[in-house]
Order: sequence, then structure tokens, then C-alpha cells
Amino acid sequence: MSLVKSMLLACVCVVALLNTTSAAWAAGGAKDGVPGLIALTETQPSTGDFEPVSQLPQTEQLPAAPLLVGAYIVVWLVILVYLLILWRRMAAVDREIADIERRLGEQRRS
Amino acid sequence: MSRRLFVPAVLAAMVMFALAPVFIAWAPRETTMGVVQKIFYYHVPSAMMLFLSAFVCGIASAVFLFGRRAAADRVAVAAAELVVVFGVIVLVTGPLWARKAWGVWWQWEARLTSTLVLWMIFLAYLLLRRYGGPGSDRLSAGLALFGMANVPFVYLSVNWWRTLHPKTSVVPTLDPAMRGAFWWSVVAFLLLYVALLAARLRVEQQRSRLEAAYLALDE
Amino acid sequence: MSDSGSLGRFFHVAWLIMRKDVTVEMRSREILYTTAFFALSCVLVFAFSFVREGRAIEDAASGILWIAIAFSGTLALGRTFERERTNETLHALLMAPADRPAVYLGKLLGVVALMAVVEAVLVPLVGLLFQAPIGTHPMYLAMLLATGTIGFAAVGTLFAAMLIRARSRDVLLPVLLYPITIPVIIAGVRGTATLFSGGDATMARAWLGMLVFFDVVFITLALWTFEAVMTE
Repeated sequence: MSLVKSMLLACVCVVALLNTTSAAWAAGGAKDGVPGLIALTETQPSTGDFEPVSQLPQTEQLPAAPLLVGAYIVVWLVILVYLLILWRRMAAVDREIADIERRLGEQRRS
Repeated sequence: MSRRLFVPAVLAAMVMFALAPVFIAWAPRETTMGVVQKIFYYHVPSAMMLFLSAFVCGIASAVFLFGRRAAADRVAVAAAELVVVFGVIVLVTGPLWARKAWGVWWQWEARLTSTLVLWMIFLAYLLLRRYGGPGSDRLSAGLALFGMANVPFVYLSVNWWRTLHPKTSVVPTLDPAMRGAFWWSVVAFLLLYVALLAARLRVEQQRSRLEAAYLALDE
Repeated sequence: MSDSGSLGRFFHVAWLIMRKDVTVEMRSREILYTTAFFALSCVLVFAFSFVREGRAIEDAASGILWIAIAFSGTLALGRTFERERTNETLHALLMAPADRPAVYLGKLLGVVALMAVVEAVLVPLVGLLFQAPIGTHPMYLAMLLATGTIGFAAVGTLFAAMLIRARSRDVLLPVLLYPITIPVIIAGVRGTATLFSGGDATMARAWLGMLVFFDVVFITLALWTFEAVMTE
């Protein structure tokens, strides 16, 4: 049972890391002009209001990347912290239940 | 509900979250806002979960208040806590986006303000739960009902207040190419929400088991 | 018993409870005096931050008025129910063969009456100290104050009654009350500000409509939930 829990936690951690790094990659790629994932959109024809990256003025892109990465990190931090809190509560309650069931058993025996 | 639903939901949510940045990066960039618009793929689904959770809490509270079901109360607590959790995500990612799009961290706009008020109501709900002492379960159910009824009033009043001082707001219309990534995120968040709700519900169920056990010990 | 008969009884019970509250209050006038004094000190504190070079900044008067109403209203609500609690009288009221919603309505009327007296002092004072033209649309001002006070007290009475058995009720009352009554405050402040700025009353009418709607919805909701919430 605790194995399932720890596997889940490890899973969450890995995905969180993946997410923030890939978000940084996506944002950073746009910033420096390095062909990141975002550059893939360049090959697509622009639709209506939406233009490929290369046509955007460089100044507009500069302050956005830290904000985007910050937002992703916050999302993951909040979810991770909440999971951790949930986990600790669950462990505490489980421990207490085990304890009281032991005491109940003792009481019945005596 | 707990184990059979929880594990697959968490796993599916994790897989979808792992893939979400790929789809988000694939989605076209919005010209007026640039790359910061991509915050929306996490921001809007979180806001949807916030309102869904508030709705769940309101319904469960009504069922508890008038039907006297202890299980409904447990659902209400779990949902109320998730409103606050998703509210933190929404209220932090929102200003990060607004800083770039509007040039300010916060804007007294109807949607923002009503979200903030809703978040505060559920924060008050948790405070009441925590410090209200015995009987606070029914009181908080009443608060949840009032909170639900309050949302349209807040929205309307802030809207009227702001229209007296009009400001341009940039609400993006969703391009077809963005829809895929957006709905992917929504489903990912929905799965995450179900998983968290199931986990929180389990804590609450165990707690009521514990209470029953303590009562049995006293006798 | 016929329908009109039970409805008449309902209002009669509510009226009796309100009269009881007013009579008790008139004997000591404790809540009235302390609340009115508190409202005055609120106005004074806000005057220090919103008056520059002898003149209040734009729209400050209506904001100060409504903040004073909300703060002193919270105080009055807390004290009213604290009195019921120490004397165990609310318990007795709930045990009495009276409709629970009638008890709620009676308490609500008592609180509204108390707040109305405080406002009767507060409004002329704000007009005097901040040069607010309270006389230009007296009817609209009175109606805004009445509907706003009823809305605030409707939510406040239910919550204060709910919290009567709760721990740390003194802090929890404002914590629960202010987020819920935000629409009342916005509508009251904005509606009064349009009246004070000397504009036409169209916008004030719209705010008034919203307040009436708020009152109807929340009084209905409170009457509906009071029984379920107050049952032990």
C-alpha cells in the first residue's frame, strides 16, 4: 500500500520536473530564437490573428518567458504541496486508526 | 470510490500532464499577447475546476443540510478545500498573465473580482470548519449555500461598477488550432480534480472511522 | 387553521420578538450607544486618511458612510446575539412553539431597527463633515440605506444566529459576513456616490434595483435555511 503511494509520489515528481523544464524549453526557445518546440509552428501557415513566431517583434517576447515559466512552476508547486499535505494527513489518520484498533483489541481481551 | 478510482485517475492525470506542454507548445502563438498567452492552458482549466468544485460543494451542502447525510458533508469539505487549492493556482497564474497583457498585476474586473470573492468565501468556510467547534458542519453548509447564491450578485455588481469606468479587456477568442491543447489541459485537470477529491474524501472517511472508533473505546 | 391565519400568526410572532428586542434594548441602550460611538470613531479614523487640505477626496464620503455602517452593524449583530446567548434566551425562543423562520424575521427586524437609529445619526454627520449633499435626493438616499441595511442584516442575522454556539464566534462573524455582503457594499457605495456627486438618479435606481433583488433572494434563502441550520 505504501509502495503504491511512494510510486505515485515519484511519478508526480518526475512529471513535474518534466513539465517545468519543457515549459522553460518552450518559452526559452522562443526567446533566444533557438528552434524549440514552439518553432514547429513556423512551418504552419498563419491562421487569421495568429502569426508564426519569427514575425513577432523581439521586444514583445522578452519579459513573457519568466512569467510563463513562473506560472508553470506555481501550478506544479501548489499541486505538489497539496498532495504532500494530503499524504501526511492520510498517514497520520491511518496510524491513529491502527493504534486505536490495537487498543480496542486489548480492551476486548481484558 | 476511493482506491479503484484514485489510482487510475492519478496515473491518467499524470500522463496527460506530462504530455500537456508538448501540445501547448504546438499550439499557435497569439499575436497580441505572444507566448504569455500559453498560461491560459493551465489558468482557464484551473478556473473551471474551481467553479466545478464550488458547485459540487454547494450541492453536497444542500443535500447535507436538508437530507442529513453525513457522506454529503464529507464531499462538501473535500470540495471546499479543492476550491481553495485551485483558487491559489488561478489567482497566481492570472496576475502573471495580466502583468504582460494588461501591464498591471491586478485589475478590478468582474470575473477576477468574483473569483477572488468566491475563493475568500471558501477560505472562510475552511476557517469556520477549523475553528468553529462542534456544530460547524451545519453552519458551513449554510455558508456554502449563501456563497453560491452570492456569486452572480458579485459578478453583476462589479461589472456595473467597472462599466462606469470602462477599461479595455483582452479576452482571447479560441483559435481552432488552440482548441486541442486547451481541451487536453481541461481533461487533465478534470482527472486531477477527481483524483484529489477521491484522496481528500478518503482522509475524511478515515477520520469519521476514527471518531467512531474513539467512541467505541470510551464505552 | 386557515392559510391567512397562520400567516398572520407568523408575522405576529415576528413582531413580538422584535418588540421584545427593542424593549430590552431601550432599558439599557447599551448596544445602541456603543454601536453609535463606534460608528463615529470609524468616521473619524477614515477622515484622517481621506481628507486632504480640508476636503475629502472624490467619492470618499459614501465609502466612509458604508464602511461605518458595515463595521458598526457587525458590532451590533455580535452584541445582540451575545446577549441572547448569556441569558440562554435564544434557546428558549427556539424551544417555544413558534415558527423558526418567524424567530429569524423578528431578530432581523430588531437588528434593522437598531442600525436605522445609528444611521439616523451617521448620515447627517457624514454630510456635515465631508460636505456631502445628502439633501439632493433624500428619497433615493433613504431607500438605498434601507435596502442596503436590510440586505446586510439579513445575511448577518442568520450568520450571527448560526455562530451562537460556535467557538471563536467574535472573529468568525466578520470573516463569514464580509465576503457574502460584498454586493451590498458595492451597490451601497456606488449608488450613494452617484447621489453625492450630484448626478442624475438613473444609476442610483439601477443599484437600488439590485439591492432589492439581493434582499429578496437572501431573505428567502435565510428563511429557508434557518430551521435546518439552527436544529441541534
